[in-house]
Amino acid sequence: MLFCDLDNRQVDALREVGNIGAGHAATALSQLVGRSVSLSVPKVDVVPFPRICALLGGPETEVAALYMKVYGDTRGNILIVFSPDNLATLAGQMLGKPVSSVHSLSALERSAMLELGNILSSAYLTSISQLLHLSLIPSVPSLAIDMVGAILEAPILEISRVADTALVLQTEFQDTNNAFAGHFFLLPDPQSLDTMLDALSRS
Amino acid sequence: MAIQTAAILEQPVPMGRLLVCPVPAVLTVVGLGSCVAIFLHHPDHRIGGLAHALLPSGKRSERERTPGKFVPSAIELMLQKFDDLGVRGKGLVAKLVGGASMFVGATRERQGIGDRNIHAAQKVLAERGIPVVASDTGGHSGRSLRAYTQDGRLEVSTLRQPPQVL
Repeated sequence: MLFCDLDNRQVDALREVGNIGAGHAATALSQLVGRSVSLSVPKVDVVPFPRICALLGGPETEVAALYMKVYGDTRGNILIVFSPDNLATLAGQMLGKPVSSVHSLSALERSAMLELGNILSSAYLTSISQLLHLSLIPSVPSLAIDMVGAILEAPILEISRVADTALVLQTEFQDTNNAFAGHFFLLPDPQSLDTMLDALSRS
Repeated sequence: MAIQTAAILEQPVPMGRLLVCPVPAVLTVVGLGSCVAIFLHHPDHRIGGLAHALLPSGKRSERERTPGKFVPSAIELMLQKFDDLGVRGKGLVAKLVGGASMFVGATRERQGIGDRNIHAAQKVLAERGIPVVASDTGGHSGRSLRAYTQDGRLEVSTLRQPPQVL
């Protein structure tokens, strides 16, 4: 199915999926750092690739991104994007010791960041799995701190083979002090969208 | 009102696109990761073109629909556009930028897509007898570039590093 064929009911259903997933991820995050974390209403959009960059401040903006592939009944990509300082703050909270420089991370600091990707994507996918009765498994996380444009190539690479737009489920989250605002993206592969929509209509 | 000198045309080349510019221009790519930018330049004709390809290969139907996304078809199409402007393949030189591996610890199948893009470009250019005279490829950093179609200069920058000229 092509993304542009989605009707309003399906978009609403996907938004609910994003809401539930991000809700669980935010709960996990707030337990991890011992602070309350608030969420925006999830956006479900079919966007041309350059607009995803624009959303994050333009292609040359430096960001810290955690990237996981989704395997199982539905395939896709999860990207969790922070400003480098915000991800450093979060990792510092997890370790109980501030991160000295985001551009020369110790093995332990890097590993805390990757673990964060693991925890957030697992919380997100587990809640969606339970809702849709689908098996969804995140890959081992990976981390990049660099230009948005260069980073976004990874999750859209396979999608770009067949499309010029991506279906994006996006949620923003932030804590009360705005110390670690970030963006959570789920980009389902075009080929597996049908599976997801089928599961949605059954649930 | 002050008279301004005419600025040289600056033209971004988005992902999956290519441009051969018959007038002097600066062709730009901002935030290049595993994609490869292939800059072809003819020193005598003082003309250049840039392709911003994503993938090392594609199915025939995919290549026909969007040739600019795949390295081999992007190069072929660019050569055809040079040919349309009366510039034959002989005398063209190539510069390659990109092909980085952005995510450290990425899953195995992702790894090497940047490398594969570079190898695909090198292979097609070698087959066409077009020498690669300069390159800045691989590594783990995103790049931005400015390609000058007249003199063939190529400026490459990464975050927190001074730009370099190829």
